[in-house]
Amino acid sequence: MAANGISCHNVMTKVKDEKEQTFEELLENLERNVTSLESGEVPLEEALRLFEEGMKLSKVLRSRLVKAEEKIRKLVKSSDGALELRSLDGKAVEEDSDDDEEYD
Amino acid sequence: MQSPGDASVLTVSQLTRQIKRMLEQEFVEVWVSGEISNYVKHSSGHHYFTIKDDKAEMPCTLWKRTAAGINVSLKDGMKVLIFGDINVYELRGRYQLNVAWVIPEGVGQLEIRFRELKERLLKEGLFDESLKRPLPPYPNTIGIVTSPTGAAIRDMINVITRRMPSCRIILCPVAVQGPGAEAEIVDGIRMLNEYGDIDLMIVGRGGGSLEDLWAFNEEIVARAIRDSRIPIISAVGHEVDFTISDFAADLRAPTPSAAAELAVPDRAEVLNRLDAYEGRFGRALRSQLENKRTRLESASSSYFLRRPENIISNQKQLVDELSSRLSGALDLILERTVSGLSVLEEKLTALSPKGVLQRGYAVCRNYPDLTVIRDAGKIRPGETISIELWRGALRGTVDEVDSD
Repeated sequence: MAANGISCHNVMTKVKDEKEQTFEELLENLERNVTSLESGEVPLEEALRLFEEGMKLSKVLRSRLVKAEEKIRKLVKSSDGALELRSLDGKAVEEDSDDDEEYD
Repeated sequence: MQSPGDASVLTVSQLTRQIKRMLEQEFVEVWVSGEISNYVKHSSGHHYFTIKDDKAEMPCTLWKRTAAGINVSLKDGMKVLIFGDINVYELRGRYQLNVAWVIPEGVGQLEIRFRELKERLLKEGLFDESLKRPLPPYPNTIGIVTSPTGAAIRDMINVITRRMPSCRIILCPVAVQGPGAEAEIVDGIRMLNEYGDIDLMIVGRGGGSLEDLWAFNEEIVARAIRDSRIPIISAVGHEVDFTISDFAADLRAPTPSAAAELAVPDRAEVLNRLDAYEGRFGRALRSQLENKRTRLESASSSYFLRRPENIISNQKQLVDELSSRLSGALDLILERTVSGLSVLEEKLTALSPKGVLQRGYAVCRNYPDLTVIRDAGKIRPGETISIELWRGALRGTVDEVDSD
């Protein structure tokens, strides 16, 4: 996938923006970390950082996979033309924009 | 009228045979349009009926074996296109149309429209492979444009929630057949694009007749699919049904269930992949630590005259600390790994001296007493040493000593 404007090389940015990153971006970071670590050419402190960051990424990815909530909605146009999400039986629901990102 | 000579008199059979030969040679593979009447399905399995327009009619026969391949149930009053050969039935002195294929007339027109539209959009480049976008491998939210009732949406929800329970599904309910269905489908695709937070869309419906599926052959639907910012999988009808939407979409799925399978990965597989990564992390870090420890140990024995001892002690302490943090992390990994035993085996292998040797390290010994050499300063040129490798050993004479 194309980078979404986040520098892949800047470690601080990468960690800070974790919540906005897609699953495949995080998975790519994980792959990159393990490959660097396996290359054996990083200083010890860096190796440890790669390890810890990798484990953290893996944890984040796992938690994204296991969160399961009422996730089926239907999109309808309200009378004023605005789009809104409803439950399948037609009831209005809160826009659940934050539930995607609670994985700690 | 002159009385004919015997030679020119034909029997009825002879004349009929000549007529038969003429008609059957002349009228081969003809298309006829008309309306069915007097339809009878005989107990033998053969079908008999008359095809007519307002000025003429013609008997038709549809043999049992041919009928089996035609997926149309005929009835009186039905307007059809018939393909077949003229056949003369000598016994009754009548000619009839021997039917090879029947298309209900409306469908025949739909098929013509389908071919024309497909040809035109193909020429225009709407189906170009270069326009097809890759699908996101791990979609967080999937939009579905289909009917809210019926098997298709049920199947798709079942498959998606089974494979990837964390995936959000946003349904845009639309009519998928009947007047106005195409406009609703177009609206649905646009609404999901406008809503925005959607990674992948499935547009489709379950199986039906060509007329039922027709909305997905409309040009506006094909264009809306191509104009969508969000990649689209089309899933219309069964495996055998191809629609214009299928050609316009980024990917065609043979059925709605298959579309759902293509849309999301199986969670168990992704979790296995994470297990594998964690195992690789543990092994890679361990090998790094061992590597560093070996270098540190050899450094501590040869550098101590030049370097303050405390630097090395600090480094050793760091390595020890890291090792214990690592074993904590490794315990966690082991708990998670399904094949915990095989990882344990690998761990043991990696910790044994042979494991270290396998990665390229060597043990250097005095010869012949085989005591381990840790300090180059204790060896003089000309002495014999033995070097133990992962596989086998080497023996040789020291040329030079750099006791540094």
